[in-house]
Amino acid sequence: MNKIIVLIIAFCCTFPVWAQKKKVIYKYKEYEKFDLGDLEIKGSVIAPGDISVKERRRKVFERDLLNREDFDKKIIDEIKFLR
Amino acid sequence: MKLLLIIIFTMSSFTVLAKKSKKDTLYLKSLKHFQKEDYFTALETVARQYKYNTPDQNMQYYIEQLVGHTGTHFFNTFSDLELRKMNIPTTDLIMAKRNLYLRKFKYTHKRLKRMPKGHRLYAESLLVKGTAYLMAKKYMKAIETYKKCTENAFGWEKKTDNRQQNYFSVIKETCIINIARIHFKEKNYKQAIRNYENIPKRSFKWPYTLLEKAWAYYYTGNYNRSLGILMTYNSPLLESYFMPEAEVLKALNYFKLCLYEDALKVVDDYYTTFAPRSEKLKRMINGQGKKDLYFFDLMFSPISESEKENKFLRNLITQASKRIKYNLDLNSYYQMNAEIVRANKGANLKLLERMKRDLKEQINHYVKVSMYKFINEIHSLSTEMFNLKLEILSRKRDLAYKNRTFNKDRSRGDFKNIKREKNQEFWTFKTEFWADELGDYSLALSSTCKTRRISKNE
Repeated sequence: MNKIIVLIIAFCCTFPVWAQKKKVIYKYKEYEKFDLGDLEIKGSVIAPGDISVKERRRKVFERDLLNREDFDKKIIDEIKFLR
Repeated sequence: MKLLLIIIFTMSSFTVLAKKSKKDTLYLKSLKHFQKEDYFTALETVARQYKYNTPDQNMQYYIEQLVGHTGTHFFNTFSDLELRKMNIPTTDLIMAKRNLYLRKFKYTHKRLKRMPKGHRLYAESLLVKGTAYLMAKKYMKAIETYKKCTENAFGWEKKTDNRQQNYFSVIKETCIINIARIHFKEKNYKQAIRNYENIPKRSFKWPYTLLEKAWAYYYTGNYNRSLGILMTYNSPLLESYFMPEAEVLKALNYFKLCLYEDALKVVDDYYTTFAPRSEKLKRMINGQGKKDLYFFDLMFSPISESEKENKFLRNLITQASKRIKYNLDLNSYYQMNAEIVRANKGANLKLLERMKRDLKEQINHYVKVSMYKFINEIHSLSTEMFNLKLEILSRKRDLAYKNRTFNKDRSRGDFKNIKREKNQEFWTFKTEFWADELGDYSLALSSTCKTRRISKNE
C-alpha cells in the first residue's frame, strides 16, 4: 500500500517540471550607431608631464647620542675617594 | 685520672694567664708610645695581637682612639677575616665599603648596624648605607638616610675645625648631591636642580655639581640655561676644572637648538685642542710613569712646572690635591715622618719606614688612577663627539636633499629666550666673570629648528 502512495506522489511531481519547460528564442544585437564627434567626456584633461610619484618616506636613522641616565658610578667613586 | 685532669687544667690556665700577661705587656708598651704621641708605633704594637681574636671593649676603645690619630689606611691591607675579628666601628665601616663595591648590600647593612650614633664615622657610615639603598633601587630609604647623613655631618661640622671640618663638610655635601642624583635618576629634574642649588659656591664640590645641573637643565629642554652653566667653566676661577663631558654636553645643547655650526665648532675644538693635549699627556705618563713613585713626586712639583709640561697635568694635580682621601693620606704621611724624625726610644723605625713607603705607594697609585681615568674619559668621549658630528652632517644632508633650510638665520639670540625662575635675577654679561654670578648664567639663543623651502631666487 505504502509503495503505491509513494509512486503516485512521485508521478504527480514530474508533471509540473515538464510543464515549466519553455521554448527559448535567441535574439542578436541590432546595429548600433556611435557619433564619436558628439561624445562628451567629463573631467579635466591631464597632460602626461604632470604625472608624479609621491615622495618616498625616508627612514630616519638616528645615532645614539650621549645620554646620562644616572651618576651611580660617580657616587661609588666618591666613596672610594674619601679614604 | 683525677691527677691528670688537674695537671691539664693547671697547664691550660697557665697558658691563658701567660697570653693575658703578654697582651697586657704589649698594651702597656703601646700606651707608652701613645703618651709620646708615637701613634703609629702604638697602633702597630697592639693591633697585630688581634688579627685572629677579638679585643675586649677597653682595648677596642683604645684602638679606636689610636685610629683617630693615624687614619684608617693602616687597616687597608687587612683581610676580611682580620677586620671582622677586630670588631671596631672603623673596621666595620671598611668592611661595609668592601661589601658595597661587591654589591653585597645585605652585608653592608649588617656591618653598619652596630655603628654607634655618636661615633665620628657615623655620618660616613650613613653615606655608605644610603648608597647601598640607592644601588638596591630603594630610593625612598636612600633619600631618608642621606638626609640623616646631612644632619649628622652638619652637627660635626659645627663643632670641629680645619681639616676635620672640611671632611664633615664634604660628607654633608656628598649626601645632598646624592639626593639630587636620585631625583635625576628618577627623571625629577626640577627637584634635582633644587637640591644641587643647596651646595654653596665656595664648596670644593660645587664645580662638579655644575655639570650635573647642566644635564638636568638639558633634559628639561632649557638648553640656554644648560649652556650658560657650562660657560662657567670658562671663567678664570674654574680653569683647573676642565671636564671633557662638559664639552660633549655643550655640543649636544647647540645640536638641540639646531645651531649645527656652533656644535661643529665645539666638536672641532675637542679634536684639535683637547684630544691632542690628552695624547701628549698619555705619552708623557707612559714615558715617565715607570719611574718609582713618579705620580707621588708629581704632586709636590711646582704648579708652573707642571703647567709648562701639560695644562691638563696642572688641572689634574689641583683636583687630586683637593680630595679628602689625598689630604687624609698626606696628613698621615706627615705624622709618620714626624714620628721617624723624633725617633723616640722604642720606636720601630724600620717598621715606620716600611709604613711610610706603603702610604707613598698608595698615594702614587691613587693619583695614577685619577690621571688614567681622565685620559680614558677623553678618549671614550671622543667617540661620542664623532657620533654627534656624523648626526649633524646627516641632518644637514637631509635638509639639502629636501631643498630646505632653517627658517631663521643664526643670530645671537634674544632676551625673550631666557627662561627664568622666581628666585633668579637678570644681569647682562659684559665679558667679565663675577664670582657671585658664577654658575647662574644663561644664554639667550633662539632655536632655529623650523625649516622652510629654499626659493628659486636664493
